Amino acid sequence: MVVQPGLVDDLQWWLGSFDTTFIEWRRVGGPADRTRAALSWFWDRSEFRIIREALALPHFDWAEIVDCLLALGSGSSHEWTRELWVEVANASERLAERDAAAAAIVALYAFAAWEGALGEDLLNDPPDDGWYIFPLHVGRNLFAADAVWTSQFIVNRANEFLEYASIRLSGQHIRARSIPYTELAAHVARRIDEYVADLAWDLQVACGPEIPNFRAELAAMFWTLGDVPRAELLKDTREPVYKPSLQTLKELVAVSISRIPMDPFLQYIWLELKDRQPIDLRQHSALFALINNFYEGSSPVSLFEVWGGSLSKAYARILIASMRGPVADEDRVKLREAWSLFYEIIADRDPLSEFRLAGLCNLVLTDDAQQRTLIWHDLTRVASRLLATLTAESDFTPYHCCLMLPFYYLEDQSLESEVSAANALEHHRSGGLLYHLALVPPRVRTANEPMWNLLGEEATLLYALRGSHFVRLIPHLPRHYQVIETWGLPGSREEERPDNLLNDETAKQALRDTWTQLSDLWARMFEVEPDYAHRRKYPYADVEAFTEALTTDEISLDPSIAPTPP
Amino acid sequence: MGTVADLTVGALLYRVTRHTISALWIEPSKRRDHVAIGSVAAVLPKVEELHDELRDSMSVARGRLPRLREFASGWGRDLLPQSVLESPPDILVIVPHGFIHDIPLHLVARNDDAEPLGCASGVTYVSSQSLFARCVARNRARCRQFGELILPEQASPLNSSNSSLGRRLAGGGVDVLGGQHEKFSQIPELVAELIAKPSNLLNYDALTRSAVKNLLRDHPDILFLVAHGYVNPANHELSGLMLPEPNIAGFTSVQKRALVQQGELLFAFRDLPFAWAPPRMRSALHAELLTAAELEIDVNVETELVVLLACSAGYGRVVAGDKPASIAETMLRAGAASVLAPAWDSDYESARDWILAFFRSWIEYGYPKAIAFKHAMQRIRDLHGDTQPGRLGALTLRGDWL
Amino acid sequence: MNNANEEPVDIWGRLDDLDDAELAMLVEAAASVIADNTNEAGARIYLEMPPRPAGQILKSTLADAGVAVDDEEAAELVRDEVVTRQLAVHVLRSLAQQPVIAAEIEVAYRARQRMLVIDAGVISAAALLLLVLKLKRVKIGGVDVSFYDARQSALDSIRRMLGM
Repeated sequence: MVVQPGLVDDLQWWLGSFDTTFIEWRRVGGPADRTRAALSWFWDRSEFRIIREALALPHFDWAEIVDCLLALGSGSSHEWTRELWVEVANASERLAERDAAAAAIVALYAFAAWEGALGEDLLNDPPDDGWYIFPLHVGRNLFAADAVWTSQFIVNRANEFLEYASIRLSGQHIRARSIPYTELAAHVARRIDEYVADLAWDLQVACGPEIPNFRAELAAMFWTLGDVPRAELLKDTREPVYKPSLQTLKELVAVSISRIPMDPFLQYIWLELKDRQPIDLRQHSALFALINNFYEGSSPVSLFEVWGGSLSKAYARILIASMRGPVADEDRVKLREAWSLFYEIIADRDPLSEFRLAGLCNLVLTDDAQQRTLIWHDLTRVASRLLATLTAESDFTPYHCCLMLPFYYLEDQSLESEVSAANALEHHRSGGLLYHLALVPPRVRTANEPMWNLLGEEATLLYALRGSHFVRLIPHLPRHYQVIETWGLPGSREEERPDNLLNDETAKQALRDTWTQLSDLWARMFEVEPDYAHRRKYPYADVEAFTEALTTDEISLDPSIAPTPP
Repeated sequence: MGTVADLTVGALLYRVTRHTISALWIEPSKRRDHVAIGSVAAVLPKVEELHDELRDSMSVARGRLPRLREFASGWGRDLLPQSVLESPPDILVIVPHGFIHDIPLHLVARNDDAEPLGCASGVTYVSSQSLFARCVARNRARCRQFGELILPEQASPLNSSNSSLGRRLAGGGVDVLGGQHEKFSQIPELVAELIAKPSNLLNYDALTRSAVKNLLRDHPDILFLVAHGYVNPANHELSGLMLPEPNIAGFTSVQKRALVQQGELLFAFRDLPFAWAPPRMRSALHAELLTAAELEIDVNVETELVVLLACSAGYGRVVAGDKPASIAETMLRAGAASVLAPAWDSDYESARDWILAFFRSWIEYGYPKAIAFKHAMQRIRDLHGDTQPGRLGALTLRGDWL
Repeated sequence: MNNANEEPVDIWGRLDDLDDAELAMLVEAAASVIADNTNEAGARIYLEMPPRPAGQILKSTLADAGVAVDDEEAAELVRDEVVTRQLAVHVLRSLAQQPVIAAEIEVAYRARQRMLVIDAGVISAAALLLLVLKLKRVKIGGVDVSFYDARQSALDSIRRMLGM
């Protein structure tokens, strides 16, 4: 039976995209001499003659390897001999002592043959014994070859599948047999932490006052991530110079790694460190592979070209230049043109990029100080609206502190300005708390039947809000939530497939509808209990409201008689 | 004897700009004052060094905390208005911003005799003005007029009118990493002895996700959990407490969630975790995470005070919206009126003594929580003097002060 | 973990039997004590140094001591779990011969054990190894503690591991 390739297709893609040894293998077409020798030695063994002859092994060319893996994985290649392939998988770990890259490829062949042999039965219950053998050898050998990202990928997939199986089948024995995966996952996680720490260490060294240094580049990274105070300190090269702590830089590296696949502006700042002193970014090969990758479609900006190059590259270079000193006139002209084009072509399709570009333009192009301040104030409102929208949509994309940027530029130092700035900051915070402030209502202060009925309606709508919030979270949850089981309850339609119930777009629309209904409900509450309605509709507490709350002794109803949600 | 209405309450709203730190000082009279605190260049490097020191459990264990001492008796004083140091209000609510989050301002020495601010003023922190207003509006302790809440004399036992606020305790302790369940369970058990009403403390192996959610659904006044925390660096909604997997095979408990596109129909899902605990080389129990997201979706937290003792509970990186991504803050956002959690690791005996002092003041004597916080700090200072600032200031109060 | 009412369990006599978590904590305690009691400015930097620079510095330090290792061997000395455990035990065993520093390390270890959170950490012997190799001595409570024996023990260990 021929089936579509599955995991092995993902594995070869990961390997050729994110792990340096194999990226290089793919790029030049063949492996290092040591790996060739190891592969030749392995497949020369008499016990594997059958496989060697059937598949014309060894393969050295990357394309040849991928073709063979995909053929094996689709079950179309040759007769499956389980015992022999188990022997291959087991022997691959001993091969790792000679050459880990060779061992990883050998283990991949065994894995692909197993996946192809099982076909559609791969994900059946109970898990095939091969789940405890083939992915584990692949994961271990990849780890030994320093291919941490692909190792992490296969370990996580195997672990998730086995965890889910252990839940469905009440299988403590499955859990016990999965322990090697947990241990390997811990090793991989620790290795990645070490790589992050290694790069952070080098970045700290590169923050010194000596020339060359990467102070401007790091300043640009912090600025792009919304940390303007640190960016300003790094801009300053007067002694004693500020060097971020190792922990701060570890967080910078960790946040960057998580954001780069979706954040071309940040990626291109990192790419400005490539092949330049004082540190050799390529030596941090595992992280470099992530930084240097091409993430197609990561955002509309990633495909935007200006002056024959990418907008992201222009953003990075101009921002870094601005961290060194005044920006050249030529770059100011380019930035102005880029902004016009961006606004015309992309604009609200990528609000974060628009926001950052507007911030950069204000920094570089606005010469009048008063005008610049007004624009920063405008941008605080944009940031707050954006955050509130993202929160209302239950968008779980981690924006970190990117939207905090303009708030650091509200620098007027008078009492009136301080209050105004505090209110602007709080407005932003309350946008991020929108969901929570809606979900957990204040206690009521009066008791009457119309209010009880309205509170009952509110409780139902809040329940709906939680449900839609949950559906939007599902893509971030473990496998057992990707394959939802619903149990019949009175009134539920058992013939419904889970897919229809758990559609992300439907959940987004449901959220919009629920927020509208809540808003309408709170408007109706004004006629019955205006104080409660006001606190629901306008949960944001400015300095005035906060001051009142400090010492308010307005009582709420005793909890024992207040209504509670269903 | 005075009443709660006689307490003076002030607040500090911090704000960081690209070069400066300032604060809005709201005096007990409600008069506002703009205070220039200092420069980012002078403060930020020291804040980073301080955080590094406090995250080093070995240094904290050995009491080798020179940077904390320098902070408390030196540059930390510059972060507070002179009037607050000289004449602190009975209650001080602090709203930090940016890198000011997680600075232990309650440890700043007020004067030459090095009395920390937290021994003179009941300090509570909150990350947002709106969140504070919501904590106040949800606090079940606020169903009495302040004038009815009498502040007892120091040596007097609980006044009967305060004692009618009898409180229920629920929770427990579990050490999924080290297996020291008895040690983790002991502190909530000691607190239970102070509570008049029967407590609902679970054995370590029963303290599962579903069980904790059920405890919360029962609306205890106090939720006391001693457990390891985990902060997810990529998505803080998936941070949470590490609790043991249920023994019952098959994860048969059910969680109902509404899917509004189907009208009013409720659907039952298996109550499975939103995230697994991070992979570890060794752990005493197989663990799962009770995440922030799960709390927000499945539970309405009506608890007056949540106490979280364990790592990663009280501090966390600041994320979108100037939100600290700590589990303590998660509990506030989920609906608790106040949260008590450590900002750094603490030795077991100090944590126990501190907690017992706090609860005696709050439960037995009926003081507002922030005043009980102050009493706890005074008690630990009396026991250890100022030689152990790490012990004195580890625990912080967040949310409403009452 | 010992109950507060019981005698503390001996650690120095059972170094080979300590589990990884206990050994990691003892190594951390030793490195912390040494770093705090030296006049060498910047000794604490070794406590937070990640594996790659630690390996590079170890390589040059060993070269100065007449032990030539390549990059891969240096990386193994700081990363390999079996190797780091062996090295940690050898160094600690030497330090245990000096009562003053042994007592100080034990105090630090016990204090760490009393903390609420005892993380099952990994053994990071690189910091301890570098401190012992680079510093000649420290002063603890007015008493000179020499690292000559600990240094020699570490070098002998490394030579044996690398088949020299």
